[in-house]
Amino acid sequence: MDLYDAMRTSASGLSAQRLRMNLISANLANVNTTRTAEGGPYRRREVVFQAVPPARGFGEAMRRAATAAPPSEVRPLKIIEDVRPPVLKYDPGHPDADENGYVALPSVNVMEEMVNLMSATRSYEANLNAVRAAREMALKALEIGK
Amino acid sequence: MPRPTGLFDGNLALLERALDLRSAQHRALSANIANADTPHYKAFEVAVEEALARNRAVAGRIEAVRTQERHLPAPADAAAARPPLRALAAPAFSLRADGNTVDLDRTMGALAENALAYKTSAQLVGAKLKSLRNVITGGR
Repeated sequence: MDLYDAMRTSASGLSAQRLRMNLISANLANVNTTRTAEGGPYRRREVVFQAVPPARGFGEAMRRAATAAPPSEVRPLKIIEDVRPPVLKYDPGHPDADENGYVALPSVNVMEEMVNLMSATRSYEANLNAVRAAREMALKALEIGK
Repeated sequence: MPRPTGLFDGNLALLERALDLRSAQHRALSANIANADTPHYKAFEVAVEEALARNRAVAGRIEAVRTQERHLPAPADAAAARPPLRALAAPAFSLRADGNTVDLDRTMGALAENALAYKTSAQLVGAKLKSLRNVITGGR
């Protein structure tokens, strides 16, 4: 049923945007982190999305081929690390300072993260509205024949 | 699409088709919203009005009947069942560099409009059935 598919699609959007928000939180939390398990300062992370067709199994795929179905759930494809070089700050007292007294700090720009966070929140709300609309439509359809 | 017969006139079948197309449209718009941040995603929608207009024109043709749920749809049947999709143009003066053509504001507007049209059709179907029941029970 199209409305169930629509809800599933919106749910994939909700989960994708939540992952994006989690990564933004991680970036903001680690804005001053100079030590990581991989060594060096924390690297800013970002998620790349991909549109995937919602086929599940042969029968389902066959039915969809005969009726409708371009892509479209969204799936996180990969998490990429930022390639920008770390920001160097002169702080000779810092335990992670190099021989010249410079500390390598993550290239996290708080302003940029906040803008991304707002964008992710808006997208999350848009998906939520789509779920709400689908629910109302389904309830209205249930009223037929009452 | 069943041919109009006595009790259930053609309008009921048309409303049923409208409900089908509107829910397909809702699905398409939800896909666009979910993929608002997917690089290179191309927005699409269901051409609901065009499909309904065409539906009117071909009413009364001969159809293949599926006697079993597991039969594949016959071509004419499948063509009728498949919602006609069309790609949406990218918003004018888009400043996005990722090749995505989703216009979130326009999509949210279309979503609200589509939901309203769906509810209207559902209400009309309900009203039609109610008036039929009224006739059957003799207005009691």
